[in-house]
Amino acid sequence: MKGMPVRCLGIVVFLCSALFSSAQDSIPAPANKYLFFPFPVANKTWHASIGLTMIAVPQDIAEEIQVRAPALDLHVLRGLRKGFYIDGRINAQFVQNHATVGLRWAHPINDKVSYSIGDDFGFWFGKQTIASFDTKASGWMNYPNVSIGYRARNDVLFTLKGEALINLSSKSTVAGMTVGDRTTKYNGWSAALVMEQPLYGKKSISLGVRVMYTNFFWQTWSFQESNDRIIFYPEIIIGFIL
Amino acid sequence: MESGKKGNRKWNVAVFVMILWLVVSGCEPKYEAPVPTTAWATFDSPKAVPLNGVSRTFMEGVYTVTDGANQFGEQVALKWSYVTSITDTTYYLSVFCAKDVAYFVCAGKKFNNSLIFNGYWRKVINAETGIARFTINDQHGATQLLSGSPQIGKGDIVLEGTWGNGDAVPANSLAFSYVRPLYESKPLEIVGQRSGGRSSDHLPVAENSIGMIRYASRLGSTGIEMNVRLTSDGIPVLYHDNTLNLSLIQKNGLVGSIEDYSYQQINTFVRLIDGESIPTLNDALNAVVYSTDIRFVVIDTQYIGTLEAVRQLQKEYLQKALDIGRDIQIVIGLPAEDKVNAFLALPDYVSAPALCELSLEDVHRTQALVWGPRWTLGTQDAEVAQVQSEGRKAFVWTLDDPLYVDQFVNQSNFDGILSNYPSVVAYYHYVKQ
Amino acid sequence: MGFSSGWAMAQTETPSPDSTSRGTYALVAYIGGGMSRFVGTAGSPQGFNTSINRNSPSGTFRLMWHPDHLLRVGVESGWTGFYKYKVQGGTYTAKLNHTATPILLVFSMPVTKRLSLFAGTGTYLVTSYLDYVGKVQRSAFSLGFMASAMYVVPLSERVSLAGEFKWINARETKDTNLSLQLMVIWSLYQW
Repeated sequence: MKGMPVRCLGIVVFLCSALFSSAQDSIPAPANKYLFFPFPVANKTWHASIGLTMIAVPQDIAEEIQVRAPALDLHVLRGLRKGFYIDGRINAQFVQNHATVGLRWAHPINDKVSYSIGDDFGFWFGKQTIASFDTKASGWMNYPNVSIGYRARNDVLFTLKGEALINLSSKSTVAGMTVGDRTTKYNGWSAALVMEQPLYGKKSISLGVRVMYTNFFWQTWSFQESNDRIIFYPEIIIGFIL
Repeated sequence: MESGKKGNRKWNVAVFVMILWLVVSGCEPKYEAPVPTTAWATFDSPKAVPLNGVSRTFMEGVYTVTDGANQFGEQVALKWSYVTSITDTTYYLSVFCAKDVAYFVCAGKKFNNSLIFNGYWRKVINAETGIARFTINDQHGATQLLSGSPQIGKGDIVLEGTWGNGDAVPANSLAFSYVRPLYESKPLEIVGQRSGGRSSDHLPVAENSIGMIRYASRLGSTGIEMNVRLTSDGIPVLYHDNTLNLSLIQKNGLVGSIEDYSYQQINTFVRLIDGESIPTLNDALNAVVYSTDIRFVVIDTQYIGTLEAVRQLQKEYLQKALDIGRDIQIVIGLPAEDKVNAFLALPDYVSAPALCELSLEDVHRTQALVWGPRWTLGTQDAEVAQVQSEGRKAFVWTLDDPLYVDQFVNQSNFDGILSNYPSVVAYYHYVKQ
Repeated sequence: MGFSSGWAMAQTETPSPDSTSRGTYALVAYIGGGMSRFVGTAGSPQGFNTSINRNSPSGTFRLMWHPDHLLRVGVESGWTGFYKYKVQGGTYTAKLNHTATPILLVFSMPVTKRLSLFAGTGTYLVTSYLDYVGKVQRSAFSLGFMASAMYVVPLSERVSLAGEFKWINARETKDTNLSLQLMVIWSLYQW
């Protein structure tokens, strides 16, 4: 299955972590909060950011029904124990929205490098009037992921995150009639490079680039129903860490 | 300066991330499905001569895919269509598949005692395409087809050939075996939208172009729906979108909409994505009547305003079709109340064929020839029977999902289906039993 | 000794991340103009005698917030010409002018003491002006980006001069410019 490379990498990283587990306790966390950097979040601590994401949609397939607006991006981490934390995220464009929640396990290898593995579950839904038809769609997604992070001086944090994009189920309806009903399918993968660094005072900012190669992306559900192409989506991520 | 800041500056690449995105987003792959180069020495040799009408007609039918079913499905429908020019008529063999909205377009010739076919296949849901070549040899139906009066039964015709990917010489085996004739008991108008197909599907020609009008029957259309707008000087032209955008047209520096520019401005500056000019409705109807086998046209007006210019052209080309013995119907589409009002404002609306998408009451009010409800309202058997008893027709729109196309073709009584994928409608209609 | 201009002030007073006090914030305006060169395809009609002018003036107005770290954020607008072309065919001469007004969210960071990088995204209000058998001017929004490099020469405590090399791209209309601009940087307010 095409998602195997990400899953295998995650398993290998997880198994190797036992060799380095003793390093975790002595390595201090970055001074400023982070959302993408793969480092354990202190127990019962919240990290949050608000920002936006924006994708570039290929014009020759988008037609006029694409939503040309950035998505509001709310991102939250909740620390648990022993390197685990919960990652939750909402991307909203109001006519179409996407939420994910997942578990991460992060481990620092040394004072510069750390990694995490995780798995997110997502739900998206959208509603538009297309060619006079009231069209709705929704679906469940799975995003197994691994991240590797590098902490530069003065807590400038770099994260490289790889993710598989798996459709668990999705359905679209036109005036109440089901037109698309997809079952579990590997859709593609994404890779993101994110930098988090101080902006003002103790507040930081996330700036990132994500590239996706996928035959389905929730923001373009309205014109992807009828085709099965692998499409390249670049996405920019901007988040103000609260 | 503190060393920390110096070191930090070494990593001062916050904007690098954004610049990276700019580079990345500029490097997106181009989505296209160019028609493969189908040159074939055998097919192009002087010994290969055109097929006659009898051969073409008798090989139309439903075929089992005995080799290549993984790629094209278990069953296909073969049908011929044609386009004419001043000097010539060209015939094309289309193969319609259900799987992946696939279709083939081939030309056919007689070569020695065999029939040979050369063309390409395409899957519309993605950009996969490639060369396809077939042969019917004398032991698998050629002798019959080349005789004056073929007697064709199950298994009597076998097309054996190969298919490939892109421009690569085809090497994958493919075979179709004749099962039965195409379904003909109750005709169905297969109306391709955007004059046959959408630009976003990367077909060989642009939507709403003369090229697409001439290509439509190869996609399985027996009819087409044209999207009409008025230029600022009142000339009806074919264009679907609200704005001039690079999905439909080549870059020319103009922004805005069709309605902002005169026809002369549009005709000088704007080219569709395949390089064609935006056709006037006059040019489009001329192409339909004189150079295609299309028999049904829906004129879908995208603008708000008078239908006078459209009505004049409708009258003119209905008469022209009658004059040359073409059995063709041209209707004005009425999708909304404002269009109905504009239609009723025509002094001769009673004699103007129309397709009304609203209620049956509106159909009666406009004396529309065709009732066109949305497919989401179901098969509406009672209502369809009612309009048919009144001497009208019932068309349903827009059916693209193969599951629903199958349902409506086999379980409804509609006289026509509007679709962006006419090849799928063609498949399900012609394989009916 | 360091330059005490508003532009440079945020650098010298950037606290370490562990500091409990904050440094100086500044609101800085960047105003400038120069020339740009269109590097994409103009799309002029084929088969006619056409002359295309790819050089146009351009101007930028940018308002940036310089916080007490190195990353800056702000908004940018201005005006740029993309290209104009003149077509002669038969008895007619046609002219087309293609311009844009950017509305962008911009980030920047000093790379060295005087060199900064900028990058931004947002929308361009793209305008076409056609003069051919009548005049038509219309506008449309297009998602777009910019990136630039700026070299700064401080003149005083609050004012600096800069030269900027800039790339802009209005993605949906496929318009791309490179420009060189002279900028005046004025630290409006510090706190």
